[in-house]
Amino acid sequence: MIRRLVTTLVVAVLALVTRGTTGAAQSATDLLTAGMRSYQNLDYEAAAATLRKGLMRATSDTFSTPERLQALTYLGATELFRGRRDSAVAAFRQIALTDPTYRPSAIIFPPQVTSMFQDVRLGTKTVFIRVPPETEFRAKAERLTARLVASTPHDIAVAVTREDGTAVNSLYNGPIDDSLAVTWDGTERGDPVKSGHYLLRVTSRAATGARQLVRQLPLEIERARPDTQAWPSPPDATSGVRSGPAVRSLAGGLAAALAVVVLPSIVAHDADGIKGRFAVAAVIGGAGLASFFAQRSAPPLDVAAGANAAARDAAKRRLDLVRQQNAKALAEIRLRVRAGPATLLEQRAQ
Amino acid sequence: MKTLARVACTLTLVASSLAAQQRPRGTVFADGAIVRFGEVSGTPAGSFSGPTFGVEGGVSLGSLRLGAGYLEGRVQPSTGSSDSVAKDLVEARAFVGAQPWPWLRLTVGPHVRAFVWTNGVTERWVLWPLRARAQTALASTPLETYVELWRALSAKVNLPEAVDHVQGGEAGVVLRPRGSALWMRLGYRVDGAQLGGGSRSESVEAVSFAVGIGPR
Repeated sequence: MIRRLVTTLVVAVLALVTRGTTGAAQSATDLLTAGMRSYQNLDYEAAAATLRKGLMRATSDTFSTPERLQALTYLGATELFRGRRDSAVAAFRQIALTDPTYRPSAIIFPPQVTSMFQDVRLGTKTVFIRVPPETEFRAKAERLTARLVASTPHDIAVAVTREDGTAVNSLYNGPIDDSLAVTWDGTERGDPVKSGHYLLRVTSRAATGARQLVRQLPLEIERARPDTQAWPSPPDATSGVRSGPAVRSLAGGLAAALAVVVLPSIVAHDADGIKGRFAVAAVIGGAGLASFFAQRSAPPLDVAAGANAAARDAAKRRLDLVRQQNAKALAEIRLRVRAGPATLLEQRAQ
Repeated sequence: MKTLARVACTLTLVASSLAAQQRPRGTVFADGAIVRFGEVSGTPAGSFSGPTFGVEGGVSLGSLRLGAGYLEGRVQPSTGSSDSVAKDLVEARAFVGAQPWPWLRLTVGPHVRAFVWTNGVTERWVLWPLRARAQTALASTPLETYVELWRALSAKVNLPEAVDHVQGGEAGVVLRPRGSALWMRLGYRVDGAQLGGGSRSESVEAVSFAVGIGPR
């Protein structure tokens, strides 16, 4: 019973959602078409009402950006011909804030509309930021590049800040014409920034007290782990010049020789014991004795110590080299930067 | 079995932490041996001998060591032996080890040994030996000596008697010419198994000569 009820509810909800989306899409598009037809029939009252309703009903799913810009252009033109200049400016300003490259068609719209749009665009001082969605670079040595496109030439200030607005690094202060590339080496006061969330803020300068636009891009920065070399192996204790007392060598040799002789009786009471093992024991014992006598006639301690010191020095040099290279690798911190969607703020200039 | 798992895990963890920041180093060697196999199960005793050949390889990462080996050969009944049928001897082993001190190495891992009679009957041992090897350089010479002792933490065999214990040892000398990656080893190894409360015992011993390359 409950399962049937849940199924019915899910089906009903899905049907409503599907119908709602389709209905909104059809309605917004239909309203845009109807508004354009009213504009062409010089019925500006109906055109303004229909286009405004369509824009209010439209979402990013139902209207693409070009469709939205087209609707705003028709709305601006309609409001201009209705004598509502402020409303026309507001519509054109929205376009200028959305796409710096958009221009109304001079074939469709008369010069009054295109020239007014041009005036609004020139008066709307804003900047668009283009940054790759993901970038990885070595802090200090390499740079993150942001390409800025201006709606109109004006003065800007570009900075990297924390999310609370605290300045991390000021990148540029000055004029921008059509476009400008600004770069950042990933540092804050000379040191690579830590992992975290930052903002790339571009402030379009305005006169003191006037409202100015700030476009900001969230940057998620992560310090990539540096690739370091493995430490070199320590000097091989069993190679090069041997050290240690002669007696220890003799004891080591004789112990191993004795082990060969007695092992069968220790670990396998029933083993006959290969006779050849005595030869092995003799070789091991002989090696111990040879070491004992060689050690007694070994070069003076200072000569052996010198050779050992040379081996140690060589190992130390290798270690120092790797240490330096690792320190260099660690100093070259890599930053992985992920850029999010830009947002626009309006604030009063100080 | 739990003890085995614990020992292997402990060795791996200890060695892994010690192995940090180290470059892996590989080693491989070939080994030829004269083997004698003896078994006592009532009287008279059986005795076999013959050559075996094997290879072993391993990787050292700091103090961690991983490796595997294989050998095979045929042992013939010795004069006076109660048995007159030759056997094939096949062994394979894998191990993980750690070197807590430069002179001491501990390893553990499965060791499988099979005797295959020419009539197709197979005696199969599965052992988990814990090995401790002490080694020392002989001063003023390019030689080292070593002594190894081991005991099986677990042993299984497809014989009717239960396994009491299996243990073994090895000792030998290694020659590593200065400035050369090659080394040679002469050694003697022996192991013994006791089964059925002492009613049966088996032993395998060998004098072996190995040539290898890389760190031992």
